[in-house]
Amino acid sequence: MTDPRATNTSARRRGTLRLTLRITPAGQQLVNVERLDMICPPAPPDPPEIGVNSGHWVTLDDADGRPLFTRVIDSRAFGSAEIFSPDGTIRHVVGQVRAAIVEVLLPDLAEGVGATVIGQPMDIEGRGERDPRESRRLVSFDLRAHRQGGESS
Amino acid sequence: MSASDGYVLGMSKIVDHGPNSSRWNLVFVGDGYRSTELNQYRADVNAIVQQFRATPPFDNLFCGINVHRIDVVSTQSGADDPLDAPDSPAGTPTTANTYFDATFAGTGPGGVKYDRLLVIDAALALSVSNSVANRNQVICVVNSSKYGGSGGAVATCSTNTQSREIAIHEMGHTAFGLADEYGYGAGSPPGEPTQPNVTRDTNRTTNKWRALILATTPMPSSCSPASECMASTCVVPSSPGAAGVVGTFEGAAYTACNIYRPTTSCYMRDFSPFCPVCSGIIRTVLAVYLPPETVSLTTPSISFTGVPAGMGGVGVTTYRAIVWETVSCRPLTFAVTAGPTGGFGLPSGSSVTVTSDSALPITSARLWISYTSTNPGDVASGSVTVRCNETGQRWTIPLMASTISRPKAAVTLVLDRSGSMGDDAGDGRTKVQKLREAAGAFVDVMRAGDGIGLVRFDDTAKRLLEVEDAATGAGTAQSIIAGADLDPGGATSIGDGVLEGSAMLADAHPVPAYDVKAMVVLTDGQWNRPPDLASISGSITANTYAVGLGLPSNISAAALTTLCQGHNGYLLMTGELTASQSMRLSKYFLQILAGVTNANIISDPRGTVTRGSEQRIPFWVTSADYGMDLIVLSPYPRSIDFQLETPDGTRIDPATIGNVKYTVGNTVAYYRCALPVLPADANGSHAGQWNAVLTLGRLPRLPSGEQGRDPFGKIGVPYEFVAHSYSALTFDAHVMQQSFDLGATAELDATLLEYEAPPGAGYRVWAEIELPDQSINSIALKLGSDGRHQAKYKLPIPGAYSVRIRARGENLDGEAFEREKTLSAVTIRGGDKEPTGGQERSRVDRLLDHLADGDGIDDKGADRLKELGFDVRRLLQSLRRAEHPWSEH
Repeated sequence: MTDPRATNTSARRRGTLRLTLRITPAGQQLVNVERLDMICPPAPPDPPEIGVNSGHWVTLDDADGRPLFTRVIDSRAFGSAEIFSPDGTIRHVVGQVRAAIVEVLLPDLAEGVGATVIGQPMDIEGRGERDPRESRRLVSFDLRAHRQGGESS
Repeated sequence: MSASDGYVLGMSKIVDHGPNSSRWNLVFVGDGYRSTELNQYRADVNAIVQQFRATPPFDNLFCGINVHRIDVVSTQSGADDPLDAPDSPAGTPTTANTYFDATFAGTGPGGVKYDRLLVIDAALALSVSNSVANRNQVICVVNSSKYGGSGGAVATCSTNTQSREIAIHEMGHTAFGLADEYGYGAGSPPGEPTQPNVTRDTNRTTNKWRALILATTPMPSSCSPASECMASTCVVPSSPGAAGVVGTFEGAAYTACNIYRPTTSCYMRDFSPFCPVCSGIIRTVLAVYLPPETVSLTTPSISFTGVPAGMGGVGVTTYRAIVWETVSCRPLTFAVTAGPTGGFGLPSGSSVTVTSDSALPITSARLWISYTSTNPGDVASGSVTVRCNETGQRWTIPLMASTISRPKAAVTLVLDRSGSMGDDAGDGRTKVQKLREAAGAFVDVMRAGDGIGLVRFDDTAKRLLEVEDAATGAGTAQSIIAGADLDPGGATSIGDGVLEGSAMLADAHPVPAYDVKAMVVLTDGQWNRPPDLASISGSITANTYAVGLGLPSNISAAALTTLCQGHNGYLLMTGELTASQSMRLSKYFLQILAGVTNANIISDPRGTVTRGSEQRIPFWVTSADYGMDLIVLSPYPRSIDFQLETPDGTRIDPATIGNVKYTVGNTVAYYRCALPVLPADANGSHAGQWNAVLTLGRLPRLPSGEQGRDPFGKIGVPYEFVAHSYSALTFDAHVMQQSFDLGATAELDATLLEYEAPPGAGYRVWAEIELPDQSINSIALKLGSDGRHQAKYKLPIPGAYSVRIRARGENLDGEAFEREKTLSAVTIRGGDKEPTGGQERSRVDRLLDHLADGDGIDDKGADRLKELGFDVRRLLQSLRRAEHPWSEH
């Protein structure tokens, strides 16, 4: 379970990690990690929890796997799109995910050594009907190798 | 159809609210723009930025945002439009080779195509956007008018104006984590959505946005129709929540069932304004990027000390601003809560609201205070209390004022009467005749209370009239100007004249003292008698103006320019006075008079009045103007019927009773007015468009020798119209030259102030430059951060340049105005070698001095030789030019 005590501070803090993820039917890959001199945008105060919430999110984890920060990500990368009309209506369409890039901004915390993508598996059609009880850790990344040295890796 | 189909040109930061590391950074890239379409791309981006900025809550958060534009050139224009999606209309597919490979009918989830799904190579766009390392959001603008767009790591939108909404909606997802608030269909997802703006929870004590829900709002606030959702557990309220009220409205996150949104509508549902919940989330995110808000009063007190008494019993109303420097994203309102006391006014109302501009969070707030002068010696004091409604800050500002007599000026005319002044000026009249006309008009237009003095110079200088009040001395001055004291003869000792003029001003001690002392030097030649001008410059304390009558090659242009620039004045060069410019010298004298007496020139066209025609000359007066002189220069001013037409169409003629007086001299006629001119019609006879109306009157009595001329025939009567205003809208301009050689650069500088502050942005300043070959160039003067308008102009050919610097536009009250000032620039081959003093004079010079002194031939002899066809004076001039290469033309 995600630790609900994980805090999403809104303090004006410089130092941000940008994770670039590639989403494909085969899964999620960490393509790039950049260390940036920028303020990390705050996230909503109540982080989602496995088994409770639907959708997808990424946590920044400490060495023991405890989440330090949670960023909700746009679930449309996992197999949906919006079709807009000039009359102002918007249509949501779903289907098998093709390939998408997602960028995630996380605070560059010294104790943050890993990142985890959490949400429903992608092999279920009809995202809107998915049961949050199916949420689970989809993949974890060790950021230590990426975070050594320069601004980007 | 990839990166090989174009190139990245560069990046510009188009909204700069501070360091990128401290701000939220929005990056634009463009696709389908050829190099020739980049201006259109820039305009398209600006349009989206303006719409973004105008969309609440971004309007109040904009100074936390930087915007960057990356210019990308594509090989071809537009985007692919294959029209092969199931929902595509019929038509002919098109393709375009573009950098990011933009295409409509993009493939969506499940491999299905959608006609309006506009997609690009997002990975490439992100890579290009890495030139802004700390970017938060990337938007790709695609050069197609077809409606379309998409979301994801890079939002896309076409140039269709409705497509801009797509980009803003998509930012709601990507940058702020907002869910869609539309829903349809019977699906009923069991989990609580992760996003902060949709929920399953209708309990007012646990709901995500419970802090915004009023106790009176029903929960749930409305339910979807049963036809849309049979499985809904929503309990229909007895009366639904009103539109705009925050509650829980069923239907969101792509389902009509059991998922609720905060309000009936929102940008995340139907492009309506962002609901309070979404606005709050956006504010929370952007708050960390906002610079600290500051409001600082920069005018702790307001002083109107020394406001001149008005004209004709009408007080002069002057404005001063209470000024705050603000750094803020939100509009700030400064409102008067008490006062002003002490007789001060609030001419622009009792409050002012300011918003920072689109590129900087720093702005100034100005609340205007007015004071109308009364009688000299009167004083006033009071205070005003102002509150900033948003910050709660309060200030009590002391106000002080005093009325003084109108500033008085003493002017000495230092006039050249050397032998060459008997030469033709270029229009059939001698130079000395031109001098008499110009000096006469100058004296005619002077105000009572101002002082006039006269000095002439030839080999030496002589005082002709000690400085005397124009009210009593004008008649004497006119007699001297017309008399034998100025008959041409002798050499040219400009230095002696300048010294004597300066000494005369120093000797003038009226009570009260003159506020301004100025000297106007007129000469048509090179100085050829010591002292030289450079050696005496340090001993001069008066403002010094000079008028060069003739061509710069014949005049000590460099030395005079240097002298004037060092004494708050300038040199004007008439050039050759052709028939069409025959009154230019008089006009220059009046311009100098305006400068000396703090008047502004608002118009000075010229023309010809012919029988049966009516000349209407428009000019604009603002409420900042409190007096004006409207002057017609003409060889026959009494033959012109000169009237004024007020903004409401009322005619003013010499018999009109009001704040107006009409005067006619030998070469000048003018109205002197205090504003408003007609007290009974104050609104109609002040600000607005006026007209000077000129028609031919009675036949002139021509001077002897000119009886054969008929000015009323085909030629008509020429005139120059000059309008001077006394105003709080002031314009000043300068031309500076460091070099006088061919190819030198003239530096143009102008300042426009209204109540001592720049009058907004609704005006422009430019210069019309007449070259020695009569061609005219026009250049804009650019506004710098110091409030000065500046430009540089290279002087390509030798000779005198007339530089007419002009300003036109609207003042703070939206009233049209014009201002102008004519100046000169000069280049001479070898001009920088012109001696400005200190050099030992050559033997040839000394010989020429002796000849010019009359040692070789006196004036009478020279005149007799000239009648016989031998102009000895020109011969001496030619010899002197030969001795001085810098004087060669």
